[in-house]
Amino acid sequence: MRNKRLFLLPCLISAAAGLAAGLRAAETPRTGSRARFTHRVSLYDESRETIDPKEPSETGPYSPVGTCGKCHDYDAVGNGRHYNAVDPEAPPGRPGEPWILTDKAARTQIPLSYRKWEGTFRPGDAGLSPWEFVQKFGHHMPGGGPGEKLADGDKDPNARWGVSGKLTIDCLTCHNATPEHDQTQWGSLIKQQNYKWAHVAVSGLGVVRGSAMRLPDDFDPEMPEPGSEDLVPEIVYDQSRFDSDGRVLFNVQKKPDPRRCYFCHTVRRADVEPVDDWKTDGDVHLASGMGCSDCHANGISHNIVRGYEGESADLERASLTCRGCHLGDANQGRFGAPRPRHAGLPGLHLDKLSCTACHSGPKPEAQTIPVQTAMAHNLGPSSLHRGNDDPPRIVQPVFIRNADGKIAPHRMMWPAFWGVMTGSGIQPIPPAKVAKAAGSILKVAASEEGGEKKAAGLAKETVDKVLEALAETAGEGTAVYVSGGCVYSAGGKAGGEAKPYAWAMAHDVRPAQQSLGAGGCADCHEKNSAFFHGTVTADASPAADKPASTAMSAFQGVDGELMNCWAPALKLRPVFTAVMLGSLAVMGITVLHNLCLAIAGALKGFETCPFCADESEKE
Amino acid sequence: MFRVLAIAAIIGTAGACVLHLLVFGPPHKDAGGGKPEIRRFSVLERLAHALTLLSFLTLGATGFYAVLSGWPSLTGKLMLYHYYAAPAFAIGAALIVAGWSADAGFKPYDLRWMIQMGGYIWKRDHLPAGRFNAGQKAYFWIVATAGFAVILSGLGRLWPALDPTGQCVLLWVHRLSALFLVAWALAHAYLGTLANPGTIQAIITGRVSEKWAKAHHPLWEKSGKDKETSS
Repeated sequence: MRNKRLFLLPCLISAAAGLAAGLRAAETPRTGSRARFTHRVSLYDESRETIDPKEPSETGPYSPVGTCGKCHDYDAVGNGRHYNAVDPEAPPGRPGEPWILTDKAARTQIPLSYRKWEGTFRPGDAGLSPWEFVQKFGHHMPGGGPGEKLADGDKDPNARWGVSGKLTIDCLTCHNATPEHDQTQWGSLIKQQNYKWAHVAVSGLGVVRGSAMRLPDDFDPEMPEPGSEDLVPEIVYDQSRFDSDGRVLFNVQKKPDPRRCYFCHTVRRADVEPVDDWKTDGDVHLASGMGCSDCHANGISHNIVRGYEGESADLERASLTCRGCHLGDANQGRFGAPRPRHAGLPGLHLDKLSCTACHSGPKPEAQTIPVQTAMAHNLGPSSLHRGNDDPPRIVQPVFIRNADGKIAPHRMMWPAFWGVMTGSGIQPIPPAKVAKAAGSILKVAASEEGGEKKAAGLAKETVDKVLEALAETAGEGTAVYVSGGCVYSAGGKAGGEAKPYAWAMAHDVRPAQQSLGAGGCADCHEKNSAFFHGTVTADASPAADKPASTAMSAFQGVDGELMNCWAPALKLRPVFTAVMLGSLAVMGITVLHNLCLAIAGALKGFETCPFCADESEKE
Repeated sequence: MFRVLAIAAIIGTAGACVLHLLVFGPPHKDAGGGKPEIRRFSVLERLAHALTLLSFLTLGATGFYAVLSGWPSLTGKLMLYHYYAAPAFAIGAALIVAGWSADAGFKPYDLRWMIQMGGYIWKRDHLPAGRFNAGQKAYFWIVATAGFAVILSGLGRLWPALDPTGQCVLLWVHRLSALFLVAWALAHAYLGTLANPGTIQAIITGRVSEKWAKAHHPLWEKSGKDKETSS
């Protein structure tokens, strides 16, 4: 009987959940049309109270949870790719761009991710609570994720979720088509802890005055202390955005404008001035009129297709990879994708290289190119203080192998941090602790070396001094410094190597005429070609006078010298071809000649019996 | 799939040779030895054979090592060796085909050799054979045809003008014709050594004994075209 109950319980729970989902689906209004829906809607706060723009203080601030979530399944969206990093059940997928905890003073750059990407650290490992993580990286987060799902469980005594509110998903970050949407405000609003007010200001629905930072830690919005009410950020809605019924016409688009995506996914070369960007056309797909979300598509689940091979066995999703569209057996030719002939390309290249190796990103150069990314360098807000040398240092394109063994272009960074080495690995020491223990040493070193921006390797003596200062923090472990791919302890190398962290890049896709190999085999197979012999320079390390350089072939696991052997071999290819054609001609003519003789002989017939006649006569 | 086919073909051919040696043995056991006084192959012919042999061994070893190792494609150093050996094989094969075709034409008496299966199953002496016997002629034309296919498909791989599907077809043509050649070459090696003692010296020194010539190529020996004494 007890077993039966145990069996029935999950069944009932499942049935209830299914019923609830069904009801919710049934409640969601549908137009049934492919025409664009006009989003003329009232604004709602988080608790679904209708906002009167003239009396904003009567309700909470405009909330996407209340407004968008009225018709769209907010919970489903919240499990989407942009928001599910904190979900331990969410598949991590191929390693992507990490958040990089950068501290110039502490010479630190640590790749962080809530996903289990090899080579990254969990934010908690670097001493960041969810609150600190959002404060640090919220400028390029679309809300949700740690800003929403980890808020309740945050044990950080300095966290102020009760004051700031949760950083819920800002749907308009992606879907707002109005030019009034100003994403650059997002970062400053987060710095001011105006999480729940941020959606209003960014979307251009109104302005936010004041900062939640001024509110006391124990501020209770339901029962504010006398006097503290005036410190609450104030919203002034733009009345011109509302019609006479108090509704707003949202200029939203299902498929976001690529420029929306670029706010977080911009990558710029750090060795040239951005004014020269007109010299390249960007991604060929965008140039042809496609948008990011054509390939990186999703349904209401917002489980966005990342578009790499092997991401999903689902046919529809797999058809949105390079191969799926251009070479796939089923659903090929989506968006009119041309099928490449790859004439002249020996077949093994398709086995050994990803499509992006030849078609994406900048062509390989003798030295990798330093780049800055929106997420790592807070690109987007205008600044007079942004420099090409600003850390973290990221380089591209590094041609290394994907998990599937194919060579693909990657971006790469070398983790640099102070840490504690124990038997189980190296645990980073949070930069704040480093600053507390050895800030003065690092400051002196920075001033002697020409400033923190230089980001050059610290002198051995400085490293030793800092490690000595950190010895107490290390406890039973050993204080170490990881930099330039090496691990150092006081007095010298601690042994072991610190691998760089790399993530595949797929954009900008170049047209076929500009792909690697369009210029012939020599594009990659000339002697000391950049593809195999281009150097990837690590950040400066204390052990060397100059940063260590590694040929890409070492990362690829190929023999660089062997690749150089192909250079003369391929130069001889025309000669070899001529030789083989000549040989074929000789063999072909000989065979044909003898075939003709045989046919003529057969037509003439045997004049005598081959078994009776004298052998020599027959011959 | 090709891996299985290759293993079956190579082991099958080698096994058939061993079986023949154990069950039937050499048809002309006594033909070996004797003073090598008759010139059978010129220097150029032997050089062409050696060139073909060495390049074929390189191509076969590199290509089938990759196949038998389960590599998806030939790569690395082996690919480089394969690449350089290919034109050498083409030259050698062309020299052999052009040089020996005149003696490789089938004659009416070859039918008897064929029917008697060269005496390899049922012992028969003095089967008619000119400079090349019917089996060698058949092997010659197989090498000429499969060699043409393997070189042409290899050239197609070297200078790929076809799309991936076409290249895949070319690869299969290359693989199958190469496997065909390898299987026949194994049999050729067996017949030139263990099955016919005294034969291998013909392609090394260029000379054979009269006894050997009479036993294996009586018509050629009788005609005495190239007969000359060792002095």
